[in-house]
Amino acid sequence: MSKCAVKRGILTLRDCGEEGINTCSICARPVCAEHTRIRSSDTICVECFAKGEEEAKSAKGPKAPNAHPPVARNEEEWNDPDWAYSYRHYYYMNSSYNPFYPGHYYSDYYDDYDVRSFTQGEDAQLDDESAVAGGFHDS
Amino acid sequence: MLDTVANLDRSGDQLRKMAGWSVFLSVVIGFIAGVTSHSFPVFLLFVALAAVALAIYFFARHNDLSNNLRKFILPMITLMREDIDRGGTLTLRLNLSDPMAKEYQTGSETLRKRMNTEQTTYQLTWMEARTVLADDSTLELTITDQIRQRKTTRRNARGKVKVKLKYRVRHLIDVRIGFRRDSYALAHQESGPYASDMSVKEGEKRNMLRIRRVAQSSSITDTLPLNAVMETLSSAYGRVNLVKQEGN
Repeated sequence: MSKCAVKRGILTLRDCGEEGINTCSICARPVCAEHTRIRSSDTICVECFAKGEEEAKSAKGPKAPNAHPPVARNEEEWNDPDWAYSYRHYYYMNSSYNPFYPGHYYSDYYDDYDVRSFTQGEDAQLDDESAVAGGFHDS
Repeated sequence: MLDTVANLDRSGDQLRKMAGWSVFLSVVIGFIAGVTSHSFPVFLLFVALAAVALAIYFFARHNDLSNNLRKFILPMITLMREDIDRGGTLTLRLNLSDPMAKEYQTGSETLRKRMNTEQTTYQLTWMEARTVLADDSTLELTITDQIRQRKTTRRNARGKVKVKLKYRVRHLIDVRIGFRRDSYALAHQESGPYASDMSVKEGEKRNMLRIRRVAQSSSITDTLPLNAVMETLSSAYGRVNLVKQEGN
């Protein structure tokens, strides 16, 4: 199986680097043990898990999703290993920030975040056919 | 270790709340029980209970730490950890004292226009963090609270003195990021959020960006929103572009 497809980081995204030992049942990407979560007997990646949690909270909330930043909802949540991923999803979706990704394995999974890549890197994406899903992102 | 301190602080807050309610209930129940049973010892027992609860309340209040630890510092560290490589170091200097303690007082005056208003100002730098991020950028983050307290005293027609306290809290967020020149190029744009609060110093190896942002609130119990700092850090990254490196 290939490398874990989950990206670490908030200001900049980077590859996890660990071996993928499971497959996420939602996005079908390979995922390492550290980034695997179990939800109702399904194996999913921490990013799909956090997205799901964040979207469920937003749907439940009486106001717009950006009315309650995660830290204001529950100050204890930071202790949860998924909290950083949940915050990251919330932050990317509700701010105008587009994170950088300087790696090789850009995936369209992150299209919603408008990830920034190299300014002069369009030619590289055509050369790199080994990229997991689609090569460099053209922001 | 900070987790343990945060848990102790949380328990301390709960204890203080419980002690406060115990004082109130002991006084009320003691008074009712004393009057209905016409028994002075019963009344004394409740007074003693109230005194113990009051002592616990003041002890917990004296040893209380700033809620910045639980509501800002620990969540912020959790987020920063994501941007630091494994084995990387985050140097932290924290001050969890009461920012309105005497040693942080920076001035006190009676306002000229309003003679019955006294203004006291305080300043406390409560967080200094320094690290190298996973992209090899250096980051220094400093947070300082400036508090202005205005105490207005008025006497009403019946001679009763009323005191009104008003606060203005300025959270100064100072960020200094050093972007490696071989990884990031300065974007030639002077617009965007906080662009006017940003200064750029071009160096041989790194370009240093300094940003100061001020977040304000009118309550001393409000903690600095995490988003305010994240937006400040993001704005620095908004000022640069990735440089294509050999092999990429």
